[in-house]
Amino acid sequence: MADLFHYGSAAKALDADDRYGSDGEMKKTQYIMQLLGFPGDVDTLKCLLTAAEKGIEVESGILDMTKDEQDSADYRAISPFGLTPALKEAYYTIAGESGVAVFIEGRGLGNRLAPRNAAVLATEMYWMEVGKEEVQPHVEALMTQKVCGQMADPSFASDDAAINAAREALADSLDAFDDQLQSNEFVVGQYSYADIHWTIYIHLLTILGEGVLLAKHSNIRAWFERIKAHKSFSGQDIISYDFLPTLDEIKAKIMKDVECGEF
Amino acid sequence: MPFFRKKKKELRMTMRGFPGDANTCKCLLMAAEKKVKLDVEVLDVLGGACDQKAYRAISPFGKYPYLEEGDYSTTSINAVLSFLDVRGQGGLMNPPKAQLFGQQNYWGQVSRKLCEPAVERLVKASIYGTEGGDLDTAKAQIANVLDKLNTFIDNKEYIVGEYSFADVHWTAVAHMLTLVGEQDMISSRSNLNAWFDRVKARSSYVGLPSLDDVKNKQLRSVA
Repeated sequence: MADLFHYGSAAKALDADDRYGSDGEMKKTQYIMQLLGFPGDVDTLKCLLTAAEKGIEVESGILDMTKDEQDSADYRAISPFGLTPALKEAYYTIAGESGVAVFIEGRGLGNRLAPRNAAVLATEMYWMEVGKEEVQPHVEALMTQKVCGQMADPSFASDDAAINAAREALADSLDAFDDQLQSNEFVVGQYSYADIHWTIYIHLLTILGEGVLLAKHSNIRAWFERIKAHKSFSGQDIISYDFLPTLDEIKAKIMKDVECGEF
Repeated sequence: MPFFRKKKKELRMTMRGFPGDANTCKCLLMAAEKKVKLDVEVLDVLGGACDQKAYRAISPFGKYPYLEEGDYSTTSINAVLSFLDVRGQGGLMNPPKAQLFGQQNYWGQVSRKLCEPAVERLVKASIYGTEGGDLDTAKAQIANVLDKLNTFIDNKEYIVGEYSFADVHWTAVAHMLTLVGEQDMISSRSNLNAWFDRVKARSSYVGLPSLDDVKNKQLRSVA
């Protein structure tokens, strides 16, 4: 059985010099992490963005979901139910967006992403749920119809009815999200996990050529401009959004590493 | 009494939920664990209550359970659980250690994504007599997940060691399996059986709806 995490610095001994990543006074003693996922996978991108926001250096590995590698025996040895992505730090591995994200948060720099105030925290959780249940399935459907379907099978023909259905299904959620951003700089006022989740949805809609869905939503567009200029929550001099893949990178199955520079 | 201890005042909230819903059970558990008094109202989700205009005016996507405290309200399971956790008494339920926090959330995701939809089908079919689809497939899916969970919790008191949100999720699942007559799925797995005995011994468990409550669509408040 192949160890899918055996790449980059993980292929070296734990006490190798470059296992710890960049130097600097602010550097926490931690290994570079390995993130196994797919650049066209929503949950992978949420975790990649979380790493950049928390100043966690990540070496990305490709799990080719267009070839159903999440169902391979090698991957199921890491993630028994096929949840994606999977993350490794030294001896610890975790799979699934929810577990990976909070592990990165716990090991990362800066304040907590989750708000401390109960009402604000609940509002963040609500918008994450709305995103996961009302938006993500339709973004994934568009990703399949417009990009990944053909990557998996060159004879794949996109279904216009399915594309239109996804677009229509997104209308109410985008209306509500636009309203939420009316008087908020970020989703719940302060930057939080909810922004990470919705950044991925809006990013993918944009690169899939579905920007017309956002045309009437001035609040979403203004928020997205702020997101694209937003420096890492950890205080590192990086723009987290820059680590997200372009459409060409998704098609080429390329995922950037998260490099944070000197701490 | 320690000089700087500030006692949290007793909290009273109102929740709308459904007794045959695992997420409602989770909120009842959480309220009891965090010593939050909870008045409950039944939202007949099987009867389409979540799609009624009046409900959609307060929960635009029809999500439930729905929680109110004074002028504040929230809905959807993670929002309600988080609100109860922070507002209630005692420390926060998320493990402080990153590794355990990750594992807690992993098992929470497994429960919600891979187990609860199948459990819901069993509840609909066996208690409410509605169409549940292929129940054998549902049971096989649950069994597969329970096998792996049983292995994971070997030598652990609770799912990630200390009591956490993961236990709240899986207590609701185990309770629902008991109500639909599938308690063997828990009792036949030694680690899960021992774990379930421990959670049933916690005072929070007694507030969960009985089979009669679920059949009659009634909920009991958390005092």
